[in-house]
Amino acid sequence: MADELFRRVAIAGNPNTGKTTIFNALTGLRQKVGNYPGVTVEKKTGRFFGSHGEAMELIDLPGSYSLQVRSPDEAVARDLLLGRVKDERRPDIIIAVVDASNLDRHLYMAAQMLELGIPVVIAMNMADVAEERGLMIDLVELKQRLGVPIIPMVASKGTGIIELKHAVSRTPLPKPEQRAQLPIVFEREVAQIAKLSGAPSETSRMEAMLYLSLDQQGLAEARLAPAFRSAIAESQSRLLSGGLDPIAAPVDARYDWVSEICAAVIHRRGEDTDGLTISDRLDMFLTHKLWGWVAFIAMMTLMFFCIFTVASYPMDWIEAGVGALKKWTSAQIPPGLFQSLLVDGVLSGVGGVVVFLPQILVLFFFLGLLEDSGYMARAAFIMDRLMSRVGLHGKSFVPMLSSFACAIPGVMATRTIESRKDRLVTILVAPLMSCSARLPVYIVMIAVMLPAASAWQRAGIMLSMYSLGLIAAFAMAWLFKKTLLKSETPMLLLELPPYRAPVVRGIVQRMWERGGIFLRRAGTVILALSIILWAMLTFPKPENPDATQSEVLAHSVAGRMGRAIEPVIAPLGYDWKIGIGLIASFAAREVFVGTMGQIYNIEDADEENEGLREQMRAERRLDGTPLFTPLVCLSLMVFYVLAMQCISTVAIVRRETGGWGWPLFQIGYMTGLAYLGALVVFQGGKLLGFQ
Amino acid sequence: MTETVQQIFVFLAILGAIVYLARRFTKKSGCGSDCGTSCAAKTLPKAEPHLKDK
Repeated sequence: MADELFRRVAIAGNPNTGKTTIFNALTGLRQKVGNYPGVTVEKKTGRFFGSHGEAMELIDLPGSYSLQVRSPDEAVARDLLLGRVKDERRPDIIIAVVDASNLDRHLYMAAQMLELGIPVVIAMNMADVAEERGLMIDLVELKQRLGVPIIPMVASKGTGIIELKHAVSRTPLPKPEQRAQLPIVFEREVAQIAKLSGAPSETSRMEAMLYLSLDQQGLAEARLAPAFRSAIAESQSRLLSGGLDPIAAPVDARYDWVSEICAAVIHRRGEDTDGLTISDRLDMFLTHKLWGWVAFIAMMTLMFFCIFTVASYPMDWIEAGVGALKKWTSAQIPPGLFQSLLVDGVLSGVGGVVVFLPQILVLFFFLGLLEDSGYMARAAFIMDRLMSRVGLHGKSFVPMLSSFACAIPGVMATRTIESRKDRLVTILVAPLMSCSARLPVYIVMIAVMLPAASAWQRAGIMLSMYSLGLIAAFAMAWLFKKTLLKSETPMLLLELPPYRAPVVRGIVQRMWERGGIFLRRAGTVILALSIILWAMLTFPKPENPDATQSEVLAHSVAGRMGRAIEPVIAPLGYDWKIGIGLIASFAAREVFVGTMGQIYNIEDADEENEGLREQMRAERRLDGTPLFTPLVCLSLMVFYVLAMQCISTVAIVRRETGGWGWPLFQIGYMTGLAYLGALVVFQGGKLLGFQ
Repeated sequence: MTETVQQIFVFLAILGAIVYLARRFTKKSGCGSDCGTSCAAKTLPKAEPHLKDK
């Protein structure tokens, strides 16, 4: 009930206009922002205080081009604004965010919001970009024509936030009176449908317009009462016979109104000599057919180079710290089960993962730079040439690129895709992109494989692993589009946002958050998994009290499981201990590294603590030959590039697809692909004479 | 620390880990992930079929 007392403020507008930046500035929260469309796919709520200290609820809605939705994320905004969400109040006021440098396109959605019967404040964001482009906007005229407050803003710098707060705090809030004039015949039909719709009076007009804009398939799927459906169909045919397209008529009328307003309020202040902005000049290079790829590969290589160089020092410090902590713990607690649990289980398992924190931070520093600068949209643009060839939807770029960090936000970002089939294809292939959890596996395997290699060589191998994931994703998408999920490939219409200087504070904040998430995960899920794995590696104990550590390990539950799958994984070059790692890391990929740490720590319990990489290099097969040969390391990396191995992703795919069928299929095809890939690498390499 | 005490600690740790993982991965609303993405979304509204817009 207390919520009823708060004024509810919704932030809505086109994608990539800075809605979440405004939301963060008003609430002090830190929701993810990025300089590309589709970052927010579900609504976020927060609280803030108006200019008189009154508490208000703020709702950040996913970007939408229109209330006539085409994708699930757009439906979130429409349903809230129209009061269709059960047990949720309609907003009391809308902050319609528009990009000042693109007013002609962005005012369309604002024009629709003016028709909702709710007070509207227009936040004209990116006023600085408009000014840079030589656009002068007559605010007095614009305010007069739209009949609502207009607040020019540069949200990323906090400019205009106080004025916006002031505008939404006004009491009483006047409802908009100006709006696009639709043809009288159309309005008459709308009024009739509105009467029949049973929707509340404030929203019935817009609801009626949305019903009238449904095509035959839409009407059939809308689950309407037969009488109401036929009333809509009759209205539509009356309009059509009168020469009015029920879908295009309101759209045209609004665009005409917006064009008229823009012509009156936007004045250009002399263009530069060739009319090209700095962004245009940069794009000529960064989206070039050849140079675009060269720049993309160079940037990725530089990122991996930094991961191997900059991050290696703090990694060594953490590794030494974990080693010292193990020694200290061993000295404090008398030998026994609990000491083994802490040293061999917890510290080896969790410590083995935590040492990769610096690499994760470097990765997110670079991803932050690329996202905030606006480069991600360019990466999508150059990738779309490949994506469209394999039939992938152009909008798949955000999910695919997000999956470089983690497949979970990647899978959720598929909500921007209209077609269910295209969305499913993207969900199925997104986890093939190398996420940050694969980073520890790659780093350890590359270090074991090539101990003397330079950072550039290591970066090259890392780049090829990331590329393999990308190629596999494209290849599988092509296959799915040709077989299971046949459909047309829509064209990509992508708005390239202007380049912006990344805000260092924002990037550091994101690194801090991602570092926190990584450590939290290590301290919770990985810790719990390490404890269970330790128990599985320790029990049951062999009856012979003089059994060696290797015999103890082989006798344990995990050892038996490893041995049970050994015949299956032997063709990939793996022994049963690696098998234990593969099984354990089904829940989370990075657990593989921790598991190897635990196995070798238990085995070498009497020896001085060595780093995991040295222990792995020293590991021998029964015939005395090294286990982790370059070919085995490569085969393992390929396995991890292609395998699902992430229970959280399985859970999110189940949620997004609404059942177990697709996630189980995904686990099956990815595990099969991983096995096949690793087999080809190992057996093919052996045939070619490699070791 | 006697062996019995060590065994009790180990038993409690294993039990705690199992209960924690079971609760985490059976949560209805979430996916058990720490991806940093808000998991408040319930069932998503179905998108309307291919509507045309200008």
